[in-house]
Amino acid sequence: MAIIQDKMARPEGDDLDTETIKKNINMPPELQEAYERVVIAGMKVMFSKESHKLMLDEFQKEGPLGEKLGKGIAGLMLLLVKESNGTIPPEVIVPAGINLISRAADFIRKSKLEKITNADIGDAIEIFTSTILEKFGVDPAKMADMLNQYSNENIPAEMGA
Amino acid sequence: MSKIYFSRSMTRTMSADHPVGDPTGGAAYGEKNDPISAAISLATMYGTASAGFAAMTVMQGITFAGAAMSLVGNVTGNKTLSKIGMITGIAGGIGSFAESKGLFSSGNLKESLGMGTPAASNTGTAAGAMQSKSGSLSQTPSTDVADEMAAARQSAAVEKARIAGPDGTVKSTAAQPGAAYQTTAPAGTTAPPSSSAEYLKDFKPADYSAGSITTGKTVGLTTNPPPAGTPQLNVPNEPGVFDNLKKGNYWEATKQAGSAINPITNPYGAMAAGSIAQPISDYLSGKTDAEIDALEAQTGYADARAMQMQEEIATEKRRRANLNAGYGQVNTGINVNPAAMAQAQAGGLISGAMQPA
Repeated sequence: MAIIQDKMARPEGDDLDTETIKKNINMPPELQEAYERVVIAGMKVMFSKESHKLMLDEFQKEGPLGEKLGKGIAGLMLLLVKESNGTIPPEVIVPAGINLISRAADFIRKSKLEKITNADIGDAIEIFTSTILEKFGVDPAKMADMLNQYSNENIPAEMGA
Repeated sequence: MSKIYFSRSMTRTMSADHPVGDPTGGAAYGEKNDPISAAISLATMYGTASAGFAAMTVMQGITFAGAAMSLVGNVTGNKTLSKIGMITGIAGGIGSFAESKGLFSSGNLKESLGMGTPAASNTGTAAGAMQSKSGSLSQTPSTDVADEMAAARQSAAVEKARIAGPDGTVKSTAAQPGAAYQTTAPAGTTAPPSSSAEYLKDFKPADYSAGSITTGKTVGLTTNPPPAGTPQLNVPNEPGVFDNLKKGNYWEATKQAGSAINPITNPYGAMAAGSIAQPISDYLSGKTDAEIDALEAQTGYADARAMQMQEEIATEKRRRANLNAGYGQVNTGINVNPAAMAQAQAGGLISGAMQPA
């Protein structure tokens, strides 16, 4: 039986909110503080008076909302990595970015800036993750190949599947 | 015929993305200089030498967010996220799965960066390598505060025994001039009294004689109760640690608790107490730095919402004003500089030909 159950998909169903996504991010204790600090720093950049207009401008641009959101948060995370002089542990980048995507999505939904769906959030997380991995040296094509190869049957035995 | 003119700043911005005079430059040729692309390109600071290591570490982060990605994938039907989420459930996580698929090319570099540890090699799994790397990146201090405090107490006890008198008590500076310097002075020597007094004058030792902990401004430099009849300075009584705790004045209480540790008898304890005073105070008051930052960020969020609402209100007002005016003169909210329009260049060959005769 396939683990992925397409019928579970509810792109237009209950809204994915920050709390739901946050609960499913499980950081180890030694990285929890760094993770929270990165999320807070990202929120400050997104919502501070000085830079909030930039975020609104990004959303006004043409293109799918998921792509704008994913690439925008990827740019934000890379900016934070640079501003921290590389002190941000790389492990927290993806979880913190996903948290920020959900917060930005909440903001878009509540402010009625645009109509955002669960599918947009999914696209945003996928684009964000692939963008970050690409910038850290993972070839997106190889990553896609790897995921395509994946199935219940071909997980290496030594990996405990 | 309606015309739209870009402002100079907009034109400048566009010229950065679409360079004039460079037929093979610009976004169409992969040259992206817009702010977001520039920010993304910052990742090039991770040189190729560390690409494998950094990628592995970032992918380990995906493991922590695997449940969230799986959830989003299942809810939205995004199979990529679902697969990533499921792979993170495998022992070793997506990083090891990716490594097993040869996603990271710099195998030798990983070894040189300490990722190919003997322990990991012995297990023969990439998961071992991931875990050994995780250990080296741990930000948890090697010793905790309790250990440091215990060491400080032990050191202080040794120092106290060394400078104490035959009866085991630490005498005042009047009795033993320069006593505080005995901790550093060579054996059998004492520091000049004047220096000692200079050193000690800033200290305000605690007074335990009253039965409660106070800041002890009323006594001299002694830990013993003053003899009967000793003249006392007339300083008003100040609330003690527990008084302040009861009143909710946590910062004062913490400061007093720190000052109650006599810096002469227990210099390391006093130093340690001073260094942890602020975090304890933050904890007692219910606000840590992170919480305060979070509150600030929430305030920024609320401000942003307010700005958004104001923009919506302004748009609605403009719409109603235009509606009431019968759209005789439309207010778009955009100010156009007529002088700039007057100086606009004459139309080119095509646009000129399109003008009405």
